[in-house]
Amino acid sequence: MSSDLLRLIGEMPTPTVLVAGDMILDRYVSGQVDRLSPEAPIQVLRHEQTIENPGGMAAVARNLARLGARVRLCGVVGQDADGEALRAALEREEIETGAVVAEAGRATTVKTRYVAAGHHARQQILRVDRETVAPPAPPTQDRLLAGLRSLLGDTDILVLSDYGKGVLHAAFCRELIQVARAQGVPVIVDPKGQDFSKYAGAAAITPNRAEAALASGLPVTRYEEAQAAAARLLDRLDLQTVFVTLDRDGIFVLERNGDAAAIHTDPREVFDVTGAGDNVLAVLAYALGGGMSALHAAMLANIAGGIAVERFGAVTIGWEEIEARVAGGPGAESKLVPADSLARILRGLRGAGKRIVFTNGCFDVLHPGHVDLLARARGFGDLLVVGINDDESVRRLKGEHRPVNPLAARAAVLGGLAAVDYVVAFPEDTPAGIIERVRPDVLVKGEDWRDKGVVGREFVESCGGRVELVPLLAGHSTSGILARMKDRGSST
Amino acid sequence: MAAKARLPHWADLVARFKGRKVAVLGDMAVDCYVETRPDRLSREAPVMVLRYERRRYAAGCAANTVFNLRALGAQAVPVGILGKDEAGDALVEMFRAEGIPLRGIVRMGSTIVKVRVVSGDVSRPKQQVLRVDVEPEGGYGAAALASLRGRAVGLRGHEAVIVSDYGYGAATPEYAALLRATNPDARLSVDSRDRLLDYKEADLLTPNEAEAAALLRRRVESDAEAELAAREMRRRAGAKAVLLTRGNRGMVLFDGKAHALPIAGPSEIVDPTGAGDTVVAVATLARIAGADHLAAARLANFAAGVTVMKTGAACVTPAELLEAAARG
Repeated sequence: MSSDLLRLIGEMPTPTVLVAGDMILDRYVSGQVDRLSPEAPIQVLRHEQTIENPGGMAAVARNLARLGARVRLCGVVGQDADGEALRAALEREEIETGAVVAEAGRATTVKTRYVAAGHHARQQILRVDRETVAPPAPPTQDRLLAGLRSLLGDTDILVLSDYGKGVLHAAFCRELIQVARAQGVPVIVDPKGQDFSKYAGAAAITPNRAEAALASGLPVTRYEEAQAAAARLLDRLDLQTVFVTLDRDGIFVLERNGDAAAIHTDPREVFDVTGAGDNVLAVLAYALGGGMSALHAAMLANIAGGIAVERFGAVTIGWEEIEARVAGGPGAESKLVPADSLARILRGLRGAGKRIVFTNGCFDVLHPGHVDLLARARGFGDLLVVGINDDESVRRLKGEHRPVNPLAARAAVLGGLAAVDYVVAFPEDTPAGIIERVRPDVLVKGEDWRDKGVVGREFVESCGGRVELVPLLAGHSTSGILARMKDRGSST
Repeated sequence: MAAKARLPHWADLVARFKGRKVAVLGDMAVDCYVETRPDRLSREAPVMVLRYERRRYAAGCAANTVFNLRALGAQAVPVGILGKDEAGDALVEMFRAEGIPLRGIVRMGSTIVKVRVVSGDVSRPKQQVLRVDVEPEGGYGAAALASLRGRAVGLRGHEAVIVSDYGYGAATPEYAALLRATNPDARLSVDSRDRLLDYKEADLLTPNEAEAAALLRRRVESDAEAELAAREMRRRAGAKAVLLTRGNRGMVLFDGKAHALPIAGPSEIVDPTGAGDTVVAVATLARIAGADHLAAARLANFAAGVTVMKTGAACVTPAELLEAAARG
C-alpha cells in the first residue's frame, strides 16, 4: 500500500486550484511575559515579534501553495492596512491575488493571537478577533464572480472554504457552484453552519464530526453513524463524495458508488489543533485536483492532519513530510521508497539538520558482515539510506543465477534492520546516479574498497560530505554462503 | 473663613500658568487602547476570545507630561524621539492639533507603543486584560540620539525643563545639562524611573515609592521611611526639594523640612496610569508661576486626585484643578 501511494504521489500532475471564501489575516504577537503591570493586575507582554499569515480560506491557499499547487484566490478584504498585510503575506507565498477584491467600508477580518514565548513553552494567552460578518456588496459580488469566471478555464478544482463571515452566503454560493459545474470544474467545500443546502451540486464536502451531525440531524460518534450521516448528505446534496473528518478517529469517506472507508489516525501526541482542518482540506483538494481517487486523497489528507496537530500554530506541510510518513508509517510494508519520493523526503530532513548516511550493495543473502557494516554506517549520522541494485543490474553484475532473492524480498529483509531508515533501488550498474539524488553527508563502503575508486566520492566531497571505509567482519560473504549451500545440496 | 481665603490664591496661581514655556525632555510614547468586548472561550486554547471594537491612540510617558502642561495653558515643547511609523504619525498629529511645536522632535526608527487591551460591555465594566509593550529593538540607536542632542542644544527661552526619563534613553543627565546651559534661568524638575539621583541640582524631584525603594535599596513604606527617603534623595542629588508620591498614602514633600500631604479625593482610584506625569507638570508650573515648594506640592496633590479618577493617562484642566482645590 505505502509504495503504491508513494508512486501515485510521484506521478500526480501539479493541479491549478482556485480557492474562494472568507479570507482572514492571522496575526501572532509574541514576546516575553516577565512582569506584572504597575497599573492593573495583568501581565505585561514584552513584544518581540509579530508574524502575519494568511488565515481562513487563505490558510488553505497557503497550504496548497506549500504543496506545490498553482493557487489563485477569490475573496474580499477591506481597503485597510490589514488588507494590505494579508495581500503581502499571500504574495510572499506566490499565491495569485488578482481576483481578490478590496471593498471600501469593509474591515479586513483579523484574528490576533497574543503568545507568551519565554523560557517556558509557547503559550497563547489571549485572542482578539476583528470580524466583518456581512455579505459583500452587490458590485463586489459581481467583481468576484467575473474574476472567478475568468479563472475557471484552466482550473482543476475549485475549493470553497466557508468560515461563516458572509462571502459564501446562500445565493452566491449556489451561483459559484453552478458556474463551476457548467465549466466542468469539480468543487470541494469545507462547509459551515447547519443548512448545507447551499452546497448542493458540489463534488465533495468535508464536514467535521459536529458539522456532519448538525447538518444530517444524525449522531456521529461511531464509524457506522458517520456512514449514515454521510449517506444522507450525499443523497440530499447530490454529491460525489463526503469526507467526514473525525479528529482523533481519522477520516470517513463515502462515495456515490457506495464505496466507504474509515481511515484511522495513528494515535500521536496532540499539541495544537489550530489549522489542522486547513491542512486536511488542502491535501484533499490537491489530490483530487491531481486526479487521485477519493480514498487515496483521504489517506494522504489524514496523514497531513496528523502531522499538523503535532506542531504549534497553523503550520504548512509539504509532500516530503507526507511521503516520509507514508514511507515510515506503521502501515508501511517495507522501507523501500521510490527515488523521487526519497529525494523529497531527504530534502525535508536535511533542512531539519539531519545528517544523511548512504551505502549500497546487492544485499542478496544477508549475513553478519552486512549487519555489522550497516550498524557502523548508521553511527556516522542521523539516518541511513541503503541503495540496492535492482534485479536486472544484480544479474548483470553477479551472473545468471543471481539474485537469489528478488528486489522486494531483499528490501524487506533490509527494512527489518533497525539501522536502516530507507531503502532505494537503482537500475544502473553503479550507484553514481542514486548518490547524486541522495546527496549523502557520509558515503560508507567496506574497507575492501580502499584501493579501488569509490564511486561517488568526488560528488559527495564536492558537496562538503565525506567517505568512510569500515573494516569488514572476517569470514562472511554471500558467495561463501551460496557455495556452502551448493556443497550441502550436492552431498545429500 | 480660611478655606474661602485660599480660593483666590489658587486661582491667581493657576491663571499664571498660561503661556509658560516649558521644555519636556524624555521618552515620548504612544498609548494604544484596543477596545473590545468579551465574546467566548477559544476552541484552540484555554483563552478568552475578545471582539475588537476600536483602537484609540493617546499620548504616553513624556508625551503625557506635554499634554498635561498644554491642558493647563502652558506652552510645552517636547524634546524626544518618535518613530517613522503609524503610532509616531498619530502622536505628531495630536501635537499639531494642540499647537504643540515639533522643533524638539526627532523622527527616526520605531515608536515606543504601550498597547492596552481593554474589555467590557453593558454588564461588565471595562477593565484592562493585557498590556503589550512594543519597544525599539536595541534602543533608539546612535543616529537618533545624536540628532536629539542637536535639537536640545538649539532650544532656548524656557522657564523650566522637565526631565521625563522612562529609562529608554532619550533623557540623560548630559542632555538635561545641555538644555539648562542654553536656558540658564530654567528650573529643572526630574521624574526618572532608574537614575533620579544622577540629575544634579534640580529644583524638584518627583519619585514614587517603588522608584525610591529601588534607588535607596531599602523598604520605603511607612511614613517615617518615606520622610527619610525623601530627605536622603534631596541630599544626594543636591536638589532643592523632593516630592515623593505614595499612591493612596498621599505624598511627602521634603524641602529642608518634611511635609505630609494626605490624598486629595476618594481613596478608591480608577486608574493610576500617568498620575506621575500630571504631578510633575502641575508642580513645575506652580514653581515658575511663583509658588513655594509646599504650595506647588499641594496643588500637584489636588491634580493627582483628579487624574486617578480618569481612565488612562489623563490631563487635568484649570477648572477641574481649582474645583479640586476648593474641595481641599
